[in-house]
Amino acid sequence: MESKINQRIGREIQKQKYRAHKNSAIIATTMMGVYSLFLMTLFFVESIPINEIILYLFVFVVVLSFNVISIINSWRFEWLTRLGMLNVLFIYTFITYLLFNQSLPGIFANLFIAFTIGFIYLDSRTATLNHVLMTFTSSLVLWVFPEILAVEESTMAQLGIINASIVVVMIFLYLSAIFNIRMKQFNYEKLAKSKENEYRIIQGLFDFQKEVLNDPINTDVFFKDMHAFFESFTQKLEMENVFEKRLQLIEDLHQLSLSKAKKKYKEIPEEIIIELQSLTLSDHQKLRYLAYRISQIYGDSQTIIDPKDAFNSFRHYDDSEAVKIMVFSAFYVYFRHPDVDRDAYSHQAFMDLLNQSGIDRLVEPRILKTFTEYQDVIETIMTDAIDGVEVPL
Amino acid sequence: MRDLLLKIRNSEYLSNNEILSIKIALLLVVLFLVSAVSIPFSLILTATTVIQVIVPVAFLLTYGVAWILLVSGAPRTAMHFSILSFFILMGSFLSFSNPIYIYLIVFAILSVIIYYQEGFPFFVYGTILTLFGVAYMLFNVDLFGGDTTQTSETMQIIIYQVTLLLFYVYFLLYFINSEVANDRYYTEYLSSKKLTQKYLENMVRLKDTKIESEYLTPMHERPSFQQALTELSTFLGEMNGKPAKEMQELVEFYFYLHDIDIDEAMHQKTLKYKTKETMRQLKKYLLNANNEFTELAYELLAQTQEGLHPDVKNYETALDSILRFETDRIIAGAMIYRYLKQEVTQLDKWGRVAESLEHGEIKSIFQSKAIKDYLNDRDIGVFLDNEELYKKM
Repeated sequence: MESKINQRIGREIQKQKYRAHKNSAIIATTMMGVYSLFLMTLFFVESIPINEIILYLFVFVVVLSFNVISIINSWRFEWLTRLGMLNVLFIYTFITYLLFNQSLPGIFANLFIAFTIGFIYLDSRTATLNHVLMTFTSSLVLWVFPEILAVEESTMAQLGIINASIVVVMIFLYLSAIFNIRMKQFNYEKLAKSKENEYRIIQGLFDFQKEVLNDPINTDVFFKDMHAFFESFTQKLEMENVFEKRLQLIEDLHQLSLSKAKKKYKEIPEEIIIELQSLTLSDHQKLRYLAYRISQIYGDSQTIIDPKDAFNSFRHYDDSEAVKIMVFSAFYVYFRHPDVDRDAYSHQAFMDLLNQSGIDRLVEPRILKTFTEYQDVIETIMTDAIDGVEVPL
Repeated sequence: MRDLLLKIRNSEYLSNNEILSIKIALLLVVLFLVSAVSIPFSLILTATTVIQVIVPVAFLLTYGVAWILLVSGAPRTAMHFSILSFFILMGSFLSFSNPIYIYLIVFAILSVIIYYQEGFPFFVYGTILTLFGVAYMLFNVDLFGGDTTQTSETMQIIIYQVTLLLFYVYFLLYFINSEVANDRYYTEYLSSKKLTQKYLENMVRLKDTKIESEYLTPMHERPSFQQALTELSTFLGEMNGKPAKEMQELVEFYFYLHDIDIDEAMHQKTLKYKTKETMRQLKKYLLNANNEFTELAYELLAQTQEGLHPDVKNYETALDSILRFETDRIIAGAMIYRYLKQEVTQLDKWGRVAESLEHGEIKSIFQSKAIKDYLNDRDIGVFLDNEELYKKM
């Protein structure tokens, strides 16, 4: 069961990643297209033999076609990322080839263009490849063609310093790219988790509302109304009541298991029955969640949350150290007490939930560590407080 | 240093400002090392007073300001000063008089701006630098060893210029793509978060209803909660180097805030800045409101809920992606309508969760922009065309 839920979360993350990667692929392909136009013009002006130009053009057309096909046919994520890496490899190889085989002035500067194309892909493997290739090829250019930098009597030391600078700049840019990629990956995970949590929180609300208001939906009355509605609906449209049978099936799905429903409705394909299951008023199916979600549209003031306040945490950088300690303590003590909608949690149960929910990462590690290190003392404080014993500080 | 490395490794859990601060700190450290080597050299090698005096002074000034701003919690402004100090440092290399260096320096400065991964600074500084770079080459063709009558020399300049332009335009595209992806993420994340906040608002109100009707004591007023929090915070405070008195006062203040109108208190001119600041920090963690504390608590509790049935494959909300047949979508639409009319989902004028929606209110939902996340135009049309029938349900 847990694995199915994880698969659902994974699918959502993958969906987000895919969408982002596809955008990058479109931009990178356009970039390569524009760059190829520039190159072809350059070859033409530099009077490179026409048969060579045709060959280069052919190579670019093939590469670009593959990219266009992959985008149009929505290739699988894995294949799209691999193609991205191949693109990066291709572009560096091509420029290096030109450097060694065509005397084009200043062509080494095109390495910067290759770098930008590689940078557009937001996955860590392509980023690593891009930075390694840029470091490698620019170092190669430096040592093989030192005259490019017009270092007249270039010494090993001079070239060494320039090379070291290239490496430092690349490390910085790599670090920054990785920061960015990890942040994006984290965001996808956060979004998927927040969607999953949203459904679970509504579930909690359903349960608690049922307990407090004691007014559960009467499915019999509900479906009686539905049947009556569709009768008048089809009458008005002067059509056969095609809804009746499906409605009956949805109603039956409240009591029948899937296998029994399949037996009873042999003529209806299984996938349709599964689809219709989502329309039951059961707690764990889509319809009720969607309906509750829709109910909250009413009276929505359209206030936009400031993204700055959007991320909950016990370690906001502008909160004081004392506040961070106190509020996380309050969180802990809150869960050690029973509330009106739940029982109290033990130290271990709380810690487990904290890890499971990922909230442990939103607490200053130093503060969290104290909770584990001094578990005995904390346990005593809690027991004494709950039992009402005065503890000298 | 260990702390910094740990932060880099766990960068995804940091806020944007924290990441920016780390990036600035890293750059400033490297700037210090580079300046320690390069400035003395340029002082010796240069004859001009401008570079001998103004460059080191300006560098030290901007560098110092960047550090001060960074430690005083203004990373965004510090970032601009760090870029400026890098710019000035690069200025000291101008003495090397080789134009190719100036060309490469433009790339180096652009790289530093890219390193920060901030679109706006790239747009502003990047445009200025690129224009400068292109113009510099245009007006100093001879410096590049070029002679406008020789095609290869002109070609070289053109390649340099086009490369710089493409580099700039491509990175601009990268930043636009990144912003678009971020925007999409924030929109989805914030809408999910906003809905969760609404569910929790209902949850908090239902809890209040239960507390009132059963004469229960709210959590923050329970003596055992107060005692446990005071002692735990004091203990953890001491373990983390905070005086017991400071922690106790903070806890007292925290409980006091539950009984006052914080927004009104924030406007009192007589209150000290420090008190207001603590109030601002604590406000989001109060126990008797729907706030960050509540969201974190229910995020944790969500782990104990089942939520969506494990067989539900995704979080899609659009009916046309859940149900393939129009007949089923019409049934779903009618069921949603019937549910909204019956289920208590709204607050009454006393702020209790006690009301369901009326026809007019449901109609306004079906006509809103937000409903498009669930129903397509055809589904909405079915409702609007047969409104009278729905109303009778």
